[in-house]
Amino acid sequence: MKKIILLSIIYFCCESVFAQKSATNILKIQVNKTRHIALGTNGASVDIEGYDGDDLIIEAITDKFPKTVPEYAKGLNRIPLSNRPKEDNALGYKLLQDDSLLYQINITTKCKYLHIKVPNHLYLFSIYANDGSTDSYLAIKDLKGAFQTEGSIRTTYISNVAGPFKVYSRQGKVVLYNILWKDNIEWPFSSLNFPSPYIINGGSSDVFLSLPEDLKANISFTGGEIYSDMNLETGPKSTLTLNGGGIKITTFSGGYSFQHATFYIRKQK
Amino acid sequence: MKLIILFFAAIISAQNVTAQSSPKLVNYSLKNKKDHLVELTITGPSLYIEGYDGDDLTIEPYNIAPSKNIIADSLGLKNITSLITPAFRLQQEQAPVIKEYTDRVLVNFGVSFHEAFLIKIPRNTHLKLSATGSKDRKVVLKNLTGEVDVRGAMPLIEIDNITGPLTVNSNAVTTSKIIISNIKFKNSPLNDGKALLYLSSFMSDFDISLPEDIKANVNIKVDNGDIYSDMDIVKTYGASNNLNTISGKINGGGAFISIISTYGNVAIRKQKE
Repeated sequence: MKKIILLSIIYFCCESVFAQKSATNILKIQVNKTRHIALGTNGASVDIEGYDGDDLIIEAITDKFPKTVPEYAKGLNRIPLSNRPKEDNALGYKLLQDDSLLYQINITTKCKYLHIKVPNHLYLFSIYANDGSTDSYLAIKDLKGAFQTEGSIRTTYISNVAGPFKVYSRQGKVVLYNILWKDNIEWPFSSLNFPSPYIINGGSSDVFLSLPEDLKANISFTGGEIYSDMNLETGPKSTLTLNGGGIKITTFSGGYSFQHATFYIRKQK
Repeated sequence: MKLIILFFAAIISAQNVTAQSSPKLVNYSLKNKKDHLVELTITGPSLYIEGYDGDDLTIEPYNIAPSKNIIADSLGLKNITSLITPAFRLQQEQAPVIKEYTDRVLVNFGVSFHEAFLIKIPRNTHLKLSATGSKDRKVVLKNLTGEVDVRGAMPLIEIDNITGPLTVNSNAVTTSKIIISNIKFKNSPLNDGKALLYLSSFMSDFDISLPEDIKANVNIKVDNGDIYSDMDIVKTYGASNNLNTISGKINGGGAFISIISTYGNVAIRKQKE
């Protein structure tokens, strides 16, 4: 009997140790930097960073985030779901398009976290990320060159990039900080007729935009509520100007009062 | 004594400041229409809905203290929306449309720019509410003994002191919550075999308080969230083999409770007295 109890204790100890151990899997894809590279992800938080290499490096890391109990559920017991699929670091992709202009793939994984290194100075990089999980996020940092993001994810972070960029979030939060704003930057193509090098489509999101206090900028709006601690002044055609105007930032919002974006424009600290 | 009188006077004054009522936008008699379903569709404002012992459905603008409406993210910032030419804004308030059929009354507000409505409705009304609002809006619904069906996309739905059956279907696509408390359920033939609670959401979390002695069969499916409880849910293992699902009985089983959420969590707790 003692042996059985001892074996059971050892088994449960081993199981809990293995359950917390994270496992990593890496996928490298060689890309042609003169093409538009587009990635799709589903059900994962994603960190993207630019680097001076030639390969797309996708890393799936399991058990990246410890399980947290929401405040309102503290004091209650979590009921285990015995048949819930386990997180898995298996990594693959489905090729959607591969021609002279566009290389588009959907990453397939049951991993909840992906770290993706993207070569700097691609013709254009796009990421379509979808994950409605409570703490899901997409973060893009240190990426040189044109990029665009789109998706339904709880929070999108953009930092230390010069653009041009187009960020589209249907809902949730968008946080833009330490942006390397430049007044001479342009999209590498004219066919899409983008209105400016910096486009933020908030949908019904909360958009947190930090700007240097001395930045000269024109920010255009199509709707939404705007809050700020900066000295923004009314300009022509639904535009606010900062320090007399300069670089163009274009924002979009959901059209009706009940689904508009809210823009929080703050002095960058 | 003076202090007590002063204290009550201060409370009454504060209540008047924080919840001043305005002329009624709807005053519609539901006398002798007990079996009618009232379908209410409103987009925009917060809704404070109360069952009461009268015969009329009344809807009026509800002035809430401004401090309760400040969005935490905007602290330290000024609202400068008015600096932009409001050409794109819908400012035209539509009059409510009311239609009566043999078995139902439809009240449609469309999009309203009011902050909030106070809605009083006969306590035993069967209510079907469709409400959508932005991030600082909510629905507070209480004191109803009829069947209640709440749909739409509101960031916060609070339902208190109802008998059910209750159906909630939240399409909110952002962080949102549904709180249900003080369910006074009596299993009777009038319930017609309907579920006591039939709840579904895309992203909303559920925080549900149930009477400790409730006899219920529960079926909960959370595709991505978790389930928390302090109640003794005895799993029925065959049904619990479904993906991301638990099925079980509380106090031996009885009323049916179904909860489905794609991204939300579910908390089921004992009702505190």
